[in-house]
Amino acid sequence: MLRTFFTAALFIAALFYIGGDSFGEEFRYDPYEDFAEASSLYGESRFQDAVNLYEDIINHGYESASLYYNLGNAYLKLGFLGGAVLNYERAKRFIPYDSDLKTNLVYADSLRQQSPMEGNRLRLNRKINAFLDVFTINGLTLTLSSIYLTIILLLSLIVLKKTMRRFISKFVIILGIMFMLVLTLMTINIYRVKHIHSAIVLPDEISARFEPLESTAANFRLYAGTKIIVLRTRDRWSQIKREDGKIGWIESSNYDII
Amino acid sequence: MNMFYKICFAVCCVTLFFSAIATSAQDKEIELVFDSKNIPISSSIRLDMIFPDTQGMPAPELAEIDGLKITYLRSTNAASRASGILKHATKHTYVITPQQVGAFSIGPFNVHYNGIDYISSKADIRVGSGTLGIRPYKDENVNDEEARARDDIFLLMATDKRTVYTNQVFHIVVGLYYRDINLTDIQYPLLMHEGFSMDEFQAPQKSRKTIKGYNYSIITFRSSLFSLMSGDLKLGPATIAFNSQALSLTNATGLGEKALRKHSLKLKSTIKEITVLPIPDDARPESFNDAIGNFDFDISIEPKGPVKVGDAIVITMEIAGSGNLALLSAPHIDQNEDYILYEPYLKDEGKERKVFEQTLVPKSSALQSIPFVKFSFFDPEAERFKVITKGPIEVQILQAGEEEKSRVMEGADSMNSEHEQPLLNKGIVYIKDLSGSFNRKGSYLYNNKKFLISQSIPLFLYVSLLLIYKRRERFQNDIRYARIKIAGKQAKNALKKARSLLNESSVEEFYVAIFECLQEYFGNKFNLPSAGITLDIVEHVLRPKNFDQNIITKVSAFFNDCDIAKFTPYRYKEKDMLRSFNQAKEIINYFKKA
Repeated sequence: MLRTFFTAALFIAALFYIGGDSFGEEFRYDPYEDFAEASSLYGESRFQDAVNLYEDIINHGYESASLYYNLGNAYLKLGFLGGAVLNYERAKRFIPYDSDLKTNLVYADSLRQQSPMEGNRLRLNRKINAFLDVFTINGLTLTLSSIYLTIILLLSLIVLKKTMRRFISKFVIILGIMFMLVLTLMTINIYRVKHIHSAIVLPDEISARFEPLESTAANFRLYAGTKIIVLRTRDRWSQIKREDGKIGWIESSNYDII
Repeated sequence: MNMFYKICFAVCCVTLFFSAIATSAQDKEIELVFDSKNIPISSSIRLDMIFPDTQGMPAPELAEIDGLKITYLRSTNAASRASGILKHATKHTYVITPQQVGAFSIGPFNVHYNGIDYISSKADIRVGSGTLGIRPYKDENVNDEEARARDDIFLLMATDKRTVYTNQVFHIVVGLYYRDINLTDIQYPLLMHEGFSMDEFQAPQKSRKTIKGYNYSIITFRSSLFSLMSGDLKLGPATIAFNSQALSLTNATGLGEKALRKHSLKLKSTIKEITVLPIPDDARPESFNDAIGNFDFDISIEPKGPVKVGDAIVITMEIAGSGNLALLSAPHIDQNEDYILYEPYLKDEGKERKVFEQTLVPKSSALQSIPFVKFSFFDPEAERFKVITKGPIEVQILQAGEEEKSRVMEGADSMNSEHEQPLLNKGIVYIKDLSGSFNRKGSYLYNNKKFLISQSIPLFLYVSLLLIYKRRERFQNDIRYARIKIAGKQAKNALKKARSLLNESSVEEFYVAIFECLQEYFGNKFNLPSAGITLDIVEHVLRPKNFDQNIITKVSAFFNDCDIAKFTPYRYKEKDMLRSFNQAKEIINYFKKA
């Protein structure tokens, strides 16, 4: 028995080592330094320089809520509404509850030109998305982990104190239900991130066409900062869906994925 | 007389025979019916081909004619009663759209169906330039349902107003009417709307309507638009593209096969003249900001109670009603030295309302009220400007304490020289100084190996704890299990003891020890009282369990040896003891694995 136990312990330690090795890759580039410099450039109203430095951090493969938030601010100062909304939306994935972000996003949204038809439909859909946006994937993972650890702790208590079995079992059942609910929510959010390609329109105004051809008629118009879903791409064209369900084709260079 | 009847009979037979041959050999004629034979280039005509004495006959494919586009529309079965005899016919309808000006010959056609040749005569049509005074197939100016009721399919466009003001919203409906046709792939209409700003068409609605006795299916597209300039503007035509689906008779293999075919069609509506009047300059209020419609306006503030200097007051301005909401901007509030006023922003927008919010921060307790706010608009129905004034709203501003005075609200007004902030009246919150922890792009906790492995440790510990407790429990409650588990361990110790006796060459004691070792082992292994185990009992237990016969023989031999050695130890030398020791080991090893 002891032998089995120690073998398993060794196996886990080895996994830790492997995991640690692959994950503990040394960062040669220091994003913190660039972030501080970009923020001071922003303070000096050198917004374009700040944008360049913030974008450089992203191009090195790093991201953080503050980085996207600051970049959104810098773009807004430059009058590039599409870039501002895009980066605020990216920041929202990390800090959906942040009041500063909410304020700026509302402000940016108020600057956005909106087609009168846009807000008329699919309000329920929008509400569901707003509800799901409140939960970050990391937040849900930590919640799930906490519930899981509590369940393990309670099950261990049942093993050690058999007399408390009935009492503890009730809590385990409740926690089990909570675990399933959080897991469902997390799965939905992971699915949304992985498979629903939400994007933001970048140019001030573009036309979504019936077909992926320049010569075809325009179906509807899209403005900078409008949230869209990319359904599929074909050469340099993408089929997109606006929040109200309208579908059309635009050139792929006109949007960026959140 | 008899001869006369015979001749008459023969004449009748011959007559009937030849008339039958003549009838069978006769080709049937296709009737060609045109709407008109003189058409303008921009129009189209309908051609009906009527095949007598047929029912459900598939439509033949007509040969292409240079300069004409012939598109199949639909087929119908017709029945008529003439001289008490019911006659059937199949009518196939085609739409002929000219591509160029000139004279064209249509037909003759020859269609072979069910062993009969259907033949038509030739027909000539003339296509004019459209300005030659040729009567068009469809009167483009007639735009009402009843006038078009004879048509199988048509497109109508209607607006709720013919005279509007600049920026005044009006509605447009485009209706596709059709009957007895299977339409597929109907696309949204395209509408020429130069000088107008137009919304996208809403999702189409389908309905049915009987017009002059004809049952029509109607697909309606609705939208709203407003003009961007004044003058007599043209709206339309609306164009709609779709496919019609029908069973066709093809003759690719000469066998007259039937196939379901799609035909692309495009319909065009008439053009509407819209008179757009400019918004009058007379009596135009100063606060007028291009709002046109009929609105209500209201304002409120939050919080309503006393506010300290530096605290924010949110002014909510709600405009509700019908009109051009897209162009509505927030009503203007005058700047004042007593407060900082932020840019208004759109808080909420509905179909018939718009809510703006504007933040005001008092700079001194001298502020007594929020100034009045004027909202003016032009009412196109009443044809005059209207102004709604709300406020002033009284507020109570308290002087902040010294500590609060030093508190700076980010984004303060540029007039406030004490608090130089990077964001001056821009309406956004300043950047974050702390970067937070940077992650690799796309990395989440759920796909972090370290995190996942750490999650497995509690589970592993729990399973270990569970196993240890289960084992302990079984040891306490299941004697048979406990004895089996300790059998090997005890045998090992006993063999060790026997080995030392073997080394000391104490024959009698060795055989007693090794006998007891096996006795104990079998007792534990088969849950029997160890002290009473003899050769007979061992055989009695082992034989029914189908163990290897050799090992049973070895066990018997071993027990015999032990019995003999106990009574005549002098006969046993060291090599016999070693053999017995090895036998015991072999037996124990066998049963350990068994």
